[in-house]
Amino acid sequence: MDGIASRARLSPAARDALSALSRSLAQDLPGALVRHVVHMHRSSPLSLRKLRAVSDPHLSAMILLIGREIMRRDKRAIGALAVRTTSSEPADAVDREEAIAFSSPSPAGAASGASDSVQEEARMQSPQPASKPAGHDPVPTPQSPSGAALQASRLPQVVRSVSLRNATVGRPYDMPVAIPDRTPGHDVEIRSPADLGLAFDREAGAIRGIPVVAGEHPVQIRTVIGPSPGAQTLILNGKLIVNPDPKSLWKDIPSDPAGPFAKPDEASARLIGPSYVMAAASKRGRSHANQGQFRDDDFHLECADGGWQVAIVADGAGSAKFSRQGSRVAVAAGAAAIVAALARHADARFEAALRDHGDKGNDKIVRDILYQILAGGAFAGTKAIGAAAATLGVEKDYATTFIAVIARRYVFGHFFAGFGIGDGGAGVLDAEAGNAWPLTMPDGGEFAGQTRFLAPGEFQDATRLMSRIRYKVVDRYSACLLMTDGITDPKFDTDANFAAPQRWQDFWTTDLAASVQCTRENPTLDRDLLQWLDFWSPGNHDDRTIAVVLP
Amino acid sequence: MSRRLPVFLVLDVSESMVGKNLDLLQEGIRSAAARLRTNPHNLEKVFISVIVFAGRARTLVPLVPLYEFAPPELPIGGGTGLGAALDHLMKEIDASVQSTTAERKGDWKPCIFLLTDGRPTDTPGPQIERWNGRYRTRAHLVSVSIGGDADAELLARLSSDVLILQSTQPDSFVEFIKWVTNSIELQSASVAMGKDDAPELAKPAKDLLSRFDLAKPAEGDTRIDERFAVFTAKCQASAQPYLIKYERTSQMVGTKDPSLAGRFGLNRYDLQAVHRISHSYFELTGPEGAIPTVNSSLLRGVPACPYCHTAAGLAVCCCGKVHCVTEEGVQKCPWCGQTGEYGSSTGGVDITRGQG
Repeated sequence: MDGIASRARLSPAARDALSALSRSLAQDLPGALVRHVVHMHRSSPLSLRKLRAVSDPHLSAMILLIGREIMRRDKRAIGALAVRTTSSEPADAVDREEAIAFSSPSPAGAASGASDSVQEEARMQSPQPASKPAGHDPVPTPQSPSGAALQASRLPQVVRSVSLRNATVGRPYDMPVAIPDRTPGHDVEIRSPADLGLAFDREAGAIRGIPVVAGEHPVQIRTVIGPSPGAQTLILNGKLIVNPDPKSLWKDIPSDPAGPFAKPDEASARLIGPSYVMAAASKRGRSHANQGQFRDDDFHLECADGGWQVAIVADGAGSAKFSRQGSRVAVAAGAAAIVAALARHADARFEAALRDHGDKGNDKIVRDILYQILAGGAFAGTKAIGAAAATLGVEKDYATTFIAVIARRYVFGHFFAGFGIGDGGAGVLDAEAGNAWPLTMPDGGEFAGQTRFLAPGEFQDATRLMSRIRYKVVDRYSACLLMTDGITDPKFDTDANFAAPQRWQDFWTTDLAASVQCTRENPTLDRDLLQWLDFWSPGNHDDRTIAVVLP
Repeated sequence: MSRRLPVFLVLDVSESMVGKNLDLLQEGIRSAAARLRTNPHNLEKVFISVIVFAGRARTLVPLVPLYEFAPPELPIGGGTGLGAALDHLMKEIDASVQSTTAERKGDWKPCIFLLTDGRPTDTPGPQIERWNGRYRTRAHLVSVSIGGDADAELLARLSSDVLILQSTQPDSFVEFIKWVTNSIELQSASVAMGKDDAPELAKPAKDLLSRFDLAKPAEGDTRIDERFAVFTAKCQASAQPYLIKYERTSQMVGTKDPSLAGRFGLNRYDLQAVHRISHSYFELTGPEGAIPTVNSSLLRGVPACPYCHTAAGLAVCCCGKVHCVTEEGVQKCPWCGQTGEYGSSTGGVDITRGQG
């Protein structure tokens, strides 16, 4: 720094400040600079105005030299400092801003970082003055840096700030910017340290383009304004916040196959039954994928004697650490128990009552038998969880929801019965007629996620348990669907919607059946479903599982 | 359909915050938003609103999604109208928070961070009643007292989460902003799993935040912030407003505690800073109650005007207001327009101070 000091004829105070500054330049660049300039002002007994009149040339020389030093040491830094000076007439103290901006050298000029650019523009915010201070002075925050070029315009400058709306990577950006008096024919330049992917569209009078780099970017818009003899360079300084593309923020970290109760991140299956074709797909949600956690959902498909088909889906509780195991053992044990109970209870008496279930007495018979089958299956699932918890952890660690459906074709129609504990749901729909019948009912407790889970406590109130069972006989149907809340939340949103046939109709015709060929002939039905599970729905990143039963 | 997580920042921008605290707070909001933006959960869910209050309250940023949020510049006002702030907050909640309907899931319970550093200069009793009656159970309100001078007992009537920010360490504020950001993240993750009973607050850095203990006895009750004496002045040449801030001096007996200072007769104030302000100050300043004054003999240090740089930035007109004067000649008061010559006084003049 010595050579520089001698060139500039600095006062002793300024020289001291310079050497102290050079020591701290390594740590904190703009802050150190401003602090030392403040210090220099305070240490002089002159008032600020007189100080400027005397040492202006020293001051600007010092700032220029310090700025070059900053550029040399930190090529990534964009230091922008502005000096606000007062003209020498006290009566009409007109502020005149001299702008000196130091920007990191452009890639082409990197080598010449230390060269003497004759025209350098600088802008530095003057520190808040306080003469004869007794307490401590506030350290003013340096003006946020604005990127500017090393090359200056020879025209007088008008500097203003501009406020820009936020942008998002990959999304088209359109920000109108009013430039009064713009000289036609002159380009409107947009400068920024990063290549933003934006340009000024003169016809539209707006900044347009598709941003490519996320972050907070200082932006400078420059053009020439005014008539020919009185033209000026207009500089608009602003900051553009570019949000990252949300999709890019979701990582997909595989779960640890060697971890406890490890489960594949996705699964699918297809089963051709005596009457119907069943398929299911289950996929880990983005929330879990982002952290390399396991899929907590599960499903089970099975065919049983007598033309019966069983489908179960389950959603392990996010906060329960072994819920992936809970859902797995619950659906397996549940299916086994249901199959056994079907063989024992779904007999001729059942069929006879079902045929005429409009009669109250028959309805009770049907329900009592379904209770044995479905509630019994759920209870078996609960016992399986209890057994798992006996070895490791506690039952709460395995908490899971449970949605089961049995289906069978009778001479008098297609029969479906459903049982559900927890969120998600199942239903039957007839797309041609626009009818839909939920096979599960919503649990209470809307607001704070009071989802219920498979637990012994759920089996104490028989009436309530019975109310979880619903059944339906239809002449014709398009599909029976079982879904965990990873699907019902984005697709139905509320319980009221889940009960609305129109919503089912829309979901089927415009969404599921439009994307997946839901017919018994489709050999890749299960894989197609799995692919569909990848749909993008902001805010809905839970595990997703769906099972379909097709005629 | 993504459920929104509304976050309200209700910030005290009274005169006592002027200076480093306000700069740090402003920068803190910027850095908090920048950090939150990097998490995909937040980008989809978090909505932010900024409400500022001094004597009056104002919405600086209405509830906008995080990806649209641009950090605002914080204004300054006079007074600490907690009642006005609560009133305003409740109106904003009514207007912008969506409740659950049969067809649409509403917002998660809004998270509200209320920051204040002084005692209220209005009477917030009725607003507190209304808050407790109709809003308390459907929002998570965390009150933070900066430096421990705020009326923590009063804040405790609003919610059970009252924290005191110890501002002794140099980077307390930065750490505090990190804590606010972490808490928002935690709440965002918590609602993603469906839990929304109590606000998830991050674990603060050591010695940063302490919980307010209702059992401890309260300090004296004053309506004026006794730590500082702040004066609103105007530049004679440009009529632009500025604030002159004096801090209660800590002399050899060294105390900033007003009651202790009173006992020792330590009533002097040292010049701390001079700050330019904009006309938004007057919009935010509430109506004054009794006009508080400070005698000029208690002030040490004379500020320079931050606009015209004249050395005499503190002169009192006969209308009671403060403005700068040039060294000689006839002066014109930029408040009332009267002209006259000014001299220095020996006895000391009572100057109207801000409410703090």
